[in-house]
Parts: sequence; structure tokens; C-alpha cells
Amino acid sequence: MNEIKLARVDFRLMHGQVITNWVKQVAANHILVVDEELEKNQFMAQVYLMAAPPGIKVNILSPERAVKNLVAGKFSQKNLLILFKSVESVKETFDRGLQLCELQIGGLGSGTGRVMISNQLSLDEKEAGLLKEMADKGVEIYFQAVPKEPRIGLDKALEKMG
Amino acid sequence: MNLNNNDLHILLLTHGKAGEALMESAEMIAGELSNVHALSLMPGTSPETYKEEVKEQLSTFHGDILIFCDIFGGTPSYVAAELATDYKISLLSGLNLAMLLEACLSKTYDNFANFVTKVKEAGDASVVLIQSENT
Repeated sequence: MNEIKLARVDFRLMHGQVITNWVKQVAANHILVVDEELEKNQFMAQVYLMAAPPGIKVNILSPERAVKNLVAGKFSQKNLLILFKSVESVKETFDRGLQLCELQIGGLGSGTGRVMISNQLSLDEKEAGLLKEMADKGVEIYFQAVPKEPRIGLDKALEKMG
Repeated sequence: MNLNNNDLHILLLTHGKAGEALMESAEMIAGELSNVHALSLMPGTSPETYKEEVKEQLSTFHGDILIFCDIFGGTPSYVAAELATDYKISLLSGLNLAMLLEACLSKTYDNFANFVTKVKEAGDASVVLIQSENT
């Protein structure tokens, strides 16, 4: 799955300027949004499609269908940016056979019981456990909200969790 | 003061307090606007919490509802779009003072959809390249 230029977890999914920035940064020409709920919600899927950066094609697929299409080489000629809404969602896709070298954590929301990793990013125990499982299987995981910020490695983030 | 004779409610959804500030700006020109409300998405507020705030505000409205959000593709626009399946709302992005004033100062309208189109056109027309320096 060499076509994957960037795999990112961001609870806002295709979020205006942020995504436009990353598309340029990694020279992507196709976005794959992996989300079970959004695949079923036609109206919201349409809204997300309208928000795509100019000239960028978007597909919205469930974890199951995303892996099926990737394995079948449907995106092999693309420069792909893959977006997930949550760590649970990327873990499910990974368990179904998604091959990843790197995974970027770009936004996980907020709430109680979360530890701040940077001034924008936070992590909770459950997410930390799932990410560690993926890291143990060889995925390089880092935290980075926007291109101009430095990457924070998963090890550093886990230290902060204590 | 509700200048509009229709039962119109206007809700401004923005990143940070831009909506509240723009409301004050509009009131400088149009006077007090009792039918305009603003909800600010502050750093650290989750989309879910914000959605609940918007829902709560919407449930106090009876009549036509026009929502302005600041930027298409941002959290306020997605939150509002998600609510469009459960609430009867019209939703415009690209909030600016010209659009807000057009919506506030229109005394009456026969057809809400046409009114919203007119408001959008006021926004489109308000972006003017006044001077481009030729160097």
C-alpha cells in the first residue's frame, strides 16, 4: 500500500484549511475518508464532499470496504491521504488488513480523563493502549496537528501519560 | 428590536468569538437586534458539546431559522449541517457583516428560501477588489 502518502486521525475529518495544508505538504491527489457512520449518512457525506480541497477526489468508505479496495489495488495509481475520525476506527481498519508504515495523530477531541500531549492534542488511556498495539506491530506513530509543528513520537506521548 | 416582521431567528456559529463581535458591529449600524444569537466554539470544546449548545438554542426558536457559520468545512459548519436533518434550518457559510445586515434589515419577506438566496447574494456582492496596486 505504497500509495498511502499520509494516514491521519482527526476527529474533524476533512477540516477546511488544515486538510488543504496537509494535501499540499504530502502532494496528495486523492482523499480516502474511512468512517462507518459517514458511509451510511448520505447527506453528511455530500457535505464533506463539497468541502474537499479544489481538484481533490474523495471517497468515503467503511473500514471493511476501504481495506477491500486498497487490497484490490483500486487506489494504486493515486497519491492517497487517508483520514480516520478516531483511534478506534484506524485500529479496526488496521486489524482488517490495512498496512501502515506511519500514522499521524492530528486531533482526538477533548473531554475529561484526557492528558495533553501538546497544546492542541490530547490522549486517553484507551487510545494509548490501541496505539501501542499498533506500534508494537511496526507502525511509526506520531502526534502533529499542523505541518509547521514538530512531530511528537508515541514514546514521548506515553511518557506524559505516566 | 426585531426589525423583521416575519418570525425570523438568526444564529451565528463561529470559531472563537467572531460571531459575538460581529453581532455588536451589526448593532452599531442597525440598533439592537433581539432576534440574533451567537454561539462561539472555543478552543477545547468538543464538536459534541458544541452540537448540544446549538441544539439547546434551536429549541428556543419558533419560526424561520437562518444559521450563519464562518467557514465552510470548519466544525461549526459540520455541526449545523448535521442538525439540518432534525431541524428546519437554512444554513449559509462565509458570514460577513454585509450578509448579516441584509438579513437583519430586510423588513419582511414572502418566501423564506428566496429571502435566504437574497442574503447570500448580498454576501457575494460584498467582496469587492477596491484597489489592486499595479507594480
